[in-house]
Amino acid sequence: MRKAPVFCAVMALLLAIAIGGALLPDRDKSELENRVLSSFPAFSWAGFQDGRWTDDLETYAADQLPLRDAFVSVYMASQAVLGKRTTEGVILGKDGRLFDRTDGWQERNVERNAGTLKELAEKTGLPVYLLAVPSAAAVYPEALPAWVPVADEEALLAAAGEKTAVIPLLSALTAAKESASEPLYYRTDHHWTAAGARVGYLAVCDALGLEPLKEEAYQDYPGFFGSYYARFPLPWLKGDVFRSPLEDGLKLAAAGEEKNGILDGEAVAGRDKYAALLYGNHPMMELYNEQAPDQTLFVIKDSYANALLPALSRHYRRIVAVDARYFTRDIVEAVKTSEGDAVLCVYGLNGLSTGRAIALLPGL
Amino acid sequence: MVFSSFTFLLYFFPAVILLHYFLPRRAQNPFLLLASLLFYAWGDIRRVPLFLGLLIADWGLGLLMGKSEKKGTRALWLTLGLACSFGALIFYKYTAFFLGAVGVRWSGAMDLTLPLGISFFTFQAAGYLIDVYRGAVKPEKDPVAFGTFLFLFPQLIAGPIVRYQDLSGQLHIKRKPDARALDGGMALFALGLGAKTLLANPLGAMFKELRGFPGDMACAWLSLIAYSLQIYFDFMGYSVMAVGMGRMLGFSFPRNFDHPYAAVSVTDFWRRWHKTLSGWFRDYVYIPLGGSRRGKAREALNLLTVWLLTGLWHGADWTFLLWGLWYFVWLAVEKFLLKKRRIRPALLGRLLTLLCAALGWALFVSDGLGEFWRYCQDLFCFRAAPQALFWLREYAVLLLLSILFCVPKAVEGLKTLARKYPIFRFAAVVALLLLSVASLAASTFNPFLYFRF
Repeated sequence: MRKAPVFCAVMALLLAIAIGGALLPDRDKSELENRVLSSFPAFSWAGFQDGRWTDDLETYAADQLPLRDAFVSVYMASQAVLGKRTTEGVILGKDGRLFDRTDGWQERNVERNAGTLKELAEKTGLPVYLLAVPSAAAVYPEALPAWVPVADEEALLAAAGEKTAVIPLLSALTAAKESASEPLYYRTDHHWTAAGARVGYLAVCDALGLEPLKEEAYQDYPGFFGSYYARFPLPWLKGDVFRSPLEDGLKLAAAGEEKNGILDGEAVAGRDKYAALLYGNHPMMELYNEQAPDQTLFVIKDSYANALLPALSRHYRRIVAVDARYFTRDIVEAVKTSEGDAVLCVYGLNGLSTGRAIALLPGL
Repeated sequence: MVFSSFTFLLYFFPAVILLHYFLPRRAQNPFLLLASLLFYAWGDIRRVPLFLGLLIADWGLGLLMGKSEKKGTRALWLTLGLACSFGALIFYKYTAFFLGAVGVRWSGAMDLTLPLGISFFTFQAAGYLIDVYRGAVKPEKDPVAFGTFLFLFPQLIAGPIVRYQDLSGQLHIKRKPDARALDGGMALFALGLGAKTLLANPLGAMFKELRGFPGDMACAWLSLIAYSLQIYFDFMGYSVMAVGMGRMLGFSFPRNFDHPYAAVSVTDFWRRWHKTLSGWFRDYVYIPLGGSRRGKAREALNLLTVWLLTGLWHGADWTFLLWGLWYFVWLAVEKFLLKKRRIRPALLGRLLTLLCAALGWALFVSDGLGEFWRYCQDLFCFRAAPQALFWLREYAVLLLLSILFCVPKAVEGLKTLARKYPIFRFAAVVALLLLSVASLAASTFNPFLYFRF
């Protein structure tokens, strides 16, 4: 032992990890990675022959590595300390703020999605507006590391504007960030905050000719570690304070059942608090407000809309909202049967330029 | 099983090294052979019969050659042995390529995927047969000992190419490595693992990232630097791990790399890069062909043969053939046109050698000539955007560390430090190992993000 200290120490370490892994109970899921961890693969001769079993065993050993989360965090932290600023498509900006890598965003996707909205307007005869939510990187470019390649989001928005009616938002957000007391985007999540969504609300009111109402009451939930954090979990990052609007007279119906309020109490206690808003994303949902003056608004959305719809529903008796990513029915039919007065699309520019969910909606 | 996997690192490696240490002499070889077979079967069990067949054939033919007095008979056995070994290699590695070269597509029922490690296996076996034929070594009588030599897992799939005479002294004794060998071997293993997981893998990610910016010359060159360093630390890491494990098992493997990027000439580079392969080609191809003893024209032809074969050994594609040709050209220029085969001053020689190696890697990494042509267009497009500065900054520490470990003086300095202060070596090895485990864990970090469905 004393003669070969290096050999003995490393062997002891490896055996400790191996035996620890064997003795400790397996974890079912990882809170950090938000996924189910693999369990011990049942041996089969066929699986061994084609290499599936050995691959599964390696995945199992990696998933159930003792102190896995700590090892991952230590490695990511060491990388960040040594100057690495990107991981998993996330950029570490100044003051511990995280951003999306936007340099792969594609104008042709934006054009396709926006073109489909124009088609929807023609087929339904209703006015269709697009509120495309830019990324935090476009609103806070000064917080990005120097020379980082980014998409020209203004150009992407202009490309959308060529096809359909786009509600101006980027300039409003940029103007608001100086005066706002709260940041407009979360630091650890890709979504906008209540303050950011408020700017969006004012822009929508302006476009739809609504009289803006005063800010609603809200409640704060600290300890929000969002999607960016899940991809770049640096131990020293501070969580966000998640702010949820309090809307009393509002009823939410999704998947055929009426929900209790508009905030999922279970989800808001977890790490990803934004997912609690409107109980997350549904293929189709409806918001009712009996005190509202106007009639019905049809909304095509992704998750960015969830922070905005509660404020808008103070104006509409009924908001029918479909999530373009999950909605599989005929969209023209859905708009017509909703008897809405207008169609509003609230969508992250991220989704518009990295996917074609809107362009692929059935019926167009 | 690859060395940088949890299955190997946490289970196979400690179990085999420790058990082997405590086993009695008679059980050591059978145990190592079985462990090596398991190691191989883990990656591809369907090829085990092929390798066992070759193993038995090589062993038997070696014995036959040893028994025969007549040169003609020995030559016959040698030819048969080489035909078996190279036949399998050529069949699996080159059939599709040669057929493709004459415009035919392989449509046979046989699975032509390359058996793991066959190139190393074949060269080791062929070297053994030739040495027995020449009388340089006595044939190995014990099939298990022979199998242990040919199949030894540390060098089975990624070299170094070990010669029988390197191991024969240790094959028939109780191997009981002393404390120095155990500690030194473990330190080498940790160094190799660190080179692979902490340098080569991130450099590979950097290469991939920067190849994503076509039409940007700065990014193209950064990617080429990243790849040049990646392939070195990857290959060198594996070799060093193999040498380290060999020592912990009581063997001494030859060193495979000797700071190749510090070479002053291309000739010098190939004396430092993958030394066991260039040594093999020198001893078993170049010199038997007459080397430099039969006039300049013959010498050039021999050189060309060796380098076309070296190119093809690395892979069955035109890019590899061209890669061999590329080195032939520069080696021939140094050999026939330069005094003492090098450029003066040494700094210029070093830079030109690096440039030659890097451009060679551009050929090496490209999947087909079309891709190589596109890479060249990027490398010489004379356009660049400021984003290259971001990536340079992003990878600055990784690049600096990697370059530092290419400099002989820096590595020597660290070695001296480790010799002088055992506590430094102890801390460095443990830290390297823990960080390697952390990086392997991080490489399987796979956050599920609902919004990306």
